[in-house]
Amino acid sequence: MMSYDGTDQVIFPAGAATQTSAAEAAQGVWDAVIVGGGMAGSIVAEQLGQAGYRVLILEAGPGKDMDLAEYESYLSRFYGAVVKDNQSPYPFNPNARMPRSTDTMPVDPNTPRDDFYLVQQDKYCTDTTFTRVLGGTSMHWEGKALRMLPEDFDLRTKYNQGLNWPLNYDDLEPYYRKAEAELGVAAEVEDQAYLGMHFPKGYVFPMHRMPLSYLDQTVARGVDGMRVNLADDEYTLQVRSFPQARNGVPNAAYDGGKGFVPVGAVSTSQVEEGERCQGNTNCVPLCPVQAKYHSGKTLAKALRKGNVKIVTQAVASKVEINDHNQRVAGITFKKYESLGSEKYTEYTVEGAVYILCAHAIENARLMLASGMQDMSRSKLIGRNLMDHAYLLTWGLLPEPAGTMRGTTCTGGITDLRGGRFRATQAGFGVDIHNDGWGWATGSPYTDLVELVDRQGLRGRDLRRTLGNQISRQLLLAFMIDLLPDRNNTVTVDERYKDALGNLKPVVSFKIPPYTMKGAAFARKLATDIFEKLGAEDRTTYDQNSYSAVEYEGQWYNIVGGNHLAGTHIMGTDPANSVVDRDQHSWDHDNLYLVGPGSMPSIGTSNISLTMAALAFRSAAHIVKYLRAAKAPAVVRS
Amino acid sequence: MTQTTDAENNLDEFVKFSAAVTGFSEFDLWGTGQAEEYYKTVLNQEGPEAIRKVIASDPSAVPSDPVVNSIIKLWYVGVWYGPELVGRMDVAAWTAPGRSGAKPAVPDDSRPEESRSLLATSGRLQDGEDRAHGEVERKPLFVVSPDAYTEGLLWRAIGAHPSGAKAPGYGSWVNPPVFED
Repeated sequence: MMSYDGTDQVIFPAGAATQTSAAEAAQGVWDAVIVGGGMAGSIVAEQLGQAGYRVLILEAGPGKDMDLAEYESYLSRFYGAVVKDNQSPYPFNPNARMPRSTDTMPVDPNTPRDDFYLVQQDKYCTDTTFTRVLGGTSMHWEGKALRMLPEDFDLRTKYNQGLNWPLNYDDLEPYYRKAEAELGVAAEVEDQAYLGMHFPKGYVFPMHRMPLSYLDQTVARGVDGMRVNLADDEYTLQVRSFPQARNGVPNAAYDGGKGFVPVGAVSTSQVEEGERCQGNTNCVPLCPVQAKYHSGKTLAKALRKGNVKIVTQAVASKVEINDHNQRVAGITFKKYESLGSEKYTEYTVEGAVYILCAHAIENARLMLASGMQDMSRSKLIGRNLMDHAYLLTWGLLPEPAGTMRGTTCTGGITDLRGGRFRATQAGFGVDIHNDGWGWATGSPYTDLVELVDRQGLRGRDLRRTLGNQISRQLLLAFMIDLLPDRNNTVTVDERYKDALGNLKPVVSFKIPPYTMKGAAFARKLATDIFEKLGAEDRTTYDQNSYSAVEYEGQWYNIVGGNHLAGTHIMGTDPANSVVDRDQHSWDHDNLYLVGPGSMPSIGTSNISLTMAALAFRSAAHIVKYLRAAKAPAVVRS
Repeated sequence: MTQTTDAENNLDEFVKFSAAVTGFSEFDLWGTGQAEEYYKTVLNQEGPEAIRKVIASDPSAVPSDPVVNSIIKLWYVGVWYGPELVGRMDVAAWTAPGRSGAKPAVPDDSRPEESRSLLATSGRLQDGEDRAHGEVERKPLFVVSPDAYTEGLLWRAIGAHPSGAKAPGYGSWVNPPVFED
C-alpha cells in the first residue's frame, strides 16, 4: 500500500463524517466551503487541504463514515432489492432524493404525486440519474475514463456546431494526467492515441489496459478493418479497449519507472480488498470490491488532514448573496436528523470562498432556488443541460460469446467519435456491453420468464436453452454527442418541493435533430455490424415509450447516459457563460462552480475524467484566489 | 438417528420436484442453502394445499399450474413472482440487475396501473432493512433474501456469475465461456 502521511491511503479517519456538528461548522472560520462530497468536491477539498486551507464540505447524503460495513450494506441492499436499477444499492432518502429511472414519467401538475424527484412535464422524458450519497455519483458510475478529443474543444470553429471551450486540449492535458493518477486509470497510450489525442513523450497510464472480453474479441473478428463512408470520408473501424478507472495490473514504467500502487477499498480499518478488478460485471450500480474508483478514495485522503471537515446530512438550500457587492455571504443548509425523519435545523456557514460541486442538476437547482438567475448577466443558469443520448441495439450471435462476464464494458468502437461529418451529424462511441441485453430488455430475467412462462421449457431443456441464448447476446450501446441547447433546461417551480421544503429540479430535455441524425446512422451501422457477425438483429423500439423519439419517419428510443452537464457553462465573457475557464463565477467574485455543469460540450467521452481534470485545474486557481484574498474569513456572531 | 418429520419429508419432496423442473440436481439445490427458505416462501404465499398439489403433479406437464412456474423462477433468480405475475415481461425487466429501469424493449402498455404500485412499493423497500420475506402477508413480488439473489441458478446455467457476486477473477473474461452442463 502506498503510504500517505505515514499511514494507509485508504483509511477513512473514524468519526470524520460525524465529528463536526452543524453548529460547530456554522461557527467555524473556513477558507473554503464546498457543497457536495462527490468526485469534484473531494478533489477540490483534498487539493485545498493539502495547500493548508481550512475546508468544510457540506454533503446532502447520509452521514456515516465510509467503512466496509456501510459499503457492504449497499451491496446487500442491491442483492435484496426487487427493482435492481442503478440507484438500488442506496437508501431511499426523502430529505435528499435522487432521480430513479423507474420513476421516469411525465408529471401532470394537476395530479398531486410524490413518487419522483426529477420533475418532467414533456412527452419525452429522460431516465437519467445522479446519486446523492457520500461519494456522489462516483459510487454508481461505470468507470470509463476517456479523454475528450482535441477537436471537441473547438467544435464551433471546426464544424460550425455547438460551442467552443475557452480551453483547449493542451491546456487540460497536464490535468488529465493528474486525474488519471487520482482515479487510477488502466489503459495503454498506444490504444488511446487516436483522433488527435496526444500524450507527452514517455507517458504511460498508471495501470495496463483491462483485457478485452471474449465477447469483444468475437466482435473484433467481424468489425476490425470494416470500412464506413461518412460525409465523403472513409473510416476504418476497430475494437479498442476503453480506459477505465478500475484497478488492474500496475504499469512498472509509470512516473518515470516509479510504478503505481493501486488504491484499494476504503474503510476505517485496513482491509485487503479492491486492489484488482475481479470481474463482478456490476460496475453500475456498485463495484462490490471497490476496484472501481469512487471519490471516497480521495475523500479519505482529504479528511485525514485535520483542516478538512465534513458535515453530512446537510442539504444546501440557499446561497446567500450580499446585495451590495454580489459576493456570496454564506451557504444556508438544512441538517436533518435521519433518513426516517423530516426534522431539520437550519444553519448558515461562511467562508472566504464558496465552491459548488453538487453536479450539473443540483448546482443549477440550488442557484435557481437562491434567486441567482436575476443576478446572472448571461441568464444561462440551468440552460444548456446536456447528457449523452444512448441508442441501444441488440442482436443474437451465432455462437456463445461468454456474455455476462467481465467488467460492464471492456471494449468498443471509437473511430466515429470525431471527423468532418460532425458538421452535419453527431459523433458517437460504441460500447460492447459485457452484460448482454440487460439494459435494453431486462435480460437475463426476461429470458427466464419468456422460456419458463411463455415457451413452457422445463428441466435440462430450460437450463441449456438459457445458457445458449444468453451467452450469445450482443448489445451495442451508441453513446451519441448532444450539443448545448438553451432550451434544454433545469428550472425550479414552487409547486414541487421535497420533504425538507427544498425545490425539486424541473427538467425539460429534448433530443435535437443533429443528435438524431447520428442515431439514425448508428442504427444502420449496427445492422451492418450484426450482418458481418452473422448475428440476428433483435432490436425493437417502442414508439409509445416516454423515451421514444421520431426522426425522419422512424421511431427510436433514446435513454439517458447519466452524464449530466452544461447547466453553468464556461465561456469567454459574462454574457456568453456562467463561469470563466477556471470555473470562477462571472457574477459572484468569491464563488466557483466546479463540475460537469461548467462543460460547454460533452463530445463523445464520459464526463467524469474531464470533470476531474477541470477540478484539479480549478483547485490550483482557487489556491491562488485564497492567497490573494485580502479579507480573512469572518465568523458570524 | 432422529425421526423424520412430516416437515422434513415435505421439504425433501419439494427439492425433488424442484430438481426435476429446474434441470439441476437435488445436490445442487441443497447446495444453494436456500431450500428451506424457498419451501417456506411457497408455503406462506400459496398455502399447504397448493404446495402439496404441485409436488404431486407431473414435473414435465406443460402448461403447468402457475405455481410451478413461480417455483422454477424462485430457484433461478431468488425472486418470488406470484402466480398472478406469470408471463409478465415488464416485471421481469425491473427485477433484473441492470443499469436502467426504463427498458426500451419493454412496452409501456405492459405497465398497467397495478404494476405501478408494485414498483412504488419496491422503491420504498429500498430504505427498508425489512426485506419482507412474505411471512406475514401475501405479496406478489419480492426477493427472498440477499443470499437468494447470489444463489440464483440462472447464473450457473449461463456459464457466468451473479452480477455483483462470486466474481471469477481478474481477466477471467478473456476466455470462452464454460458451461457446467
